[in-house]
Amino acid sequence: MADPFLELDGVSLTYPNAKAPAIADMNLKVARGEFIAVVGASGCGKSSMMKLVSGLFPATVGQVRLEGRVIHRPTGNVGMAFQNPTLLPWRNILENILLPLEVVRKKDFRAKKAECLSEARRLLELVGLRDVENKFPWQLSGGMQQRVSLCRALIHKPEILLLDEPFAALDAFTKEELWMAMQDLWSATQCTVILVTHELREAVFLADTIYLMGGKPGRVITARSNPLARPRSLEDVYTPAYIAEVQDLRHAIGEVREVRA
Amino acid sequence: MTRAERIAPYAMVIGFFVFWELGVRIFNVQEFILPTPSAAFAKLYELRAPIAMNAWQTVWTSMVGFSISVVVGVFLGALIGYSKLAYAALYPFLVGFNSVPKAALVPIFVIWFGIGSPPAILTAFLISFFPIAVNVATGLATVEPELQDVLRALGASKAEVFFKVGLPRSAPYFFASLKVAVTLAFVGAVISEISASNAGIGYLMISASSSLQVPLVYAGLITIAAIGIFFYAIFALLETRFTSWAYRK
Repeated sequence: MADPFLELDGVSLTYPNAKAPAIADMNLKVARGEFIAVVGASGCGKSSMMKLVSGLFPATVGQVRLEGRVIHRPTGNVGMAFQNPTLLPWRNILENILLPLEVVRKKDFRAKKAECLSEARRLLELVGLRDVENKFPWQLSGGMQQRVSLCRALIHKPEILLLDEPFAALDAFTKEELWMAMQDLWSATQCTVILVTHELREAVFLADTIYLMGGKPGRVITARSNPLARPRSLEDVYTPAYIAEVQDLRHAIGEVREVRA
Repeated sequence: MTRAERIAPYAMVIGFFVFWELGVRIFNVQEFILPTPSAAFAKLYELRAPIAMNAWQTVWTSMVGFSISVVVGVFLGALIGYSKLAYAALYPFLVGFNSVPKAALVPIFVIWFGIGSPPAILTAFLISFFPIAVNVATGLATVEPELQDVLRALGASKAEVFFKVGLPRSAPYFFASLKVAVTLAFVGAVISEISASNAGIGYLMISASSSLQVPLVYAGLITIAAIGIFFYAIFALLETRFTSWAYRK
């Protein structure tokens, strides 16, 4: 990779008032438009990595670079979605999706309201939601709320989408539907995605490259590029190639855990 | 709401007075111990002009005290809800302050301001700001950290996070506390009037009781209760108006 889009270069992160670092000497290179998944056990620093990339916390040691520029504060160039949809209950669905634009665009937002609205509607259609604009979050199921949360993360056309276990709280069927919706969103928006998950099948389904994190402090242990062709369908989940890929990943994690134990 | 639910509050109040009236009559209780509610209402009607005048005194001092409470309560609540340092510094202090019986402070206010409206306003304020401050602080403290991350990652300032998320999020807590605080403000004003005023329902009751006009004392109590319900209802209405999203049907 000649010129990585996003690069973590020997990064360590120690939170204020913490003795041990959450992440130590981490290296990662992501190409523009790449979909990467970061897998690992709880507490291995996956969420801390998100805070570094979003600029919420500056690296204690090393550099996080986006197109060569060092990130040390929020840039407004990322969208985020979490396990909990965190929609605002006093706003309807459309107003919830537009929230990031109110912050990023400020004055411009009023002037270009019509344009913003059509973008919000386009995203809603992409994730397969219809007739929900004027509903309130509690009127939607968990899976639908999570789709709205993805729309909100993408409304300001960020170059990087950070997903922190966004499908972890959903039932198995809804989860698979959301994988498809996510794949569609990714190919429609061309953005770079970093997905943090501990669901290996999900990582294999969605990602181009899978990073295995481990240890305390957290760091990348291995990177595996995913050989499966795109676009992927839910039938692929049951093919031998897919299952083998998940198995390999599971073994790799098993080895890491044994070494630690 | 069913028909039964609609009439239940009125039935309860009427039933209470009927029970009281019958009890007094059946057991032949003397008037200076417990008058009948009908005697109290008769007195209320007979002396409606002076009672209204004194009620107005109580209402306006309570409202001034309550207004100060809202301002100070929201400010303190925002402070301790947002800053861990302010929380650590102020919380024990506020709890201690709130534990002091406000009636014990009235003599001090009399030394400072003399008798009359200022001690009533101050007591109304001191008794009612605490629930507002605690509720606003709770509302702010329950904002999901993920949501703050979403906004801060977009480059939102602390003020933007406060106005877009913190303030609306704490609104149900704030309006719930107003209902409690407004009735407390009346308690505070009346406490002060009982020992340090020459106007107000509290003053009316204490002077009626010292001349053994017991039905008038009860007329005063009924007046305070009615005013309390009235203001509670106003703030309950405001609450459903502004925070309907928090109450799913």
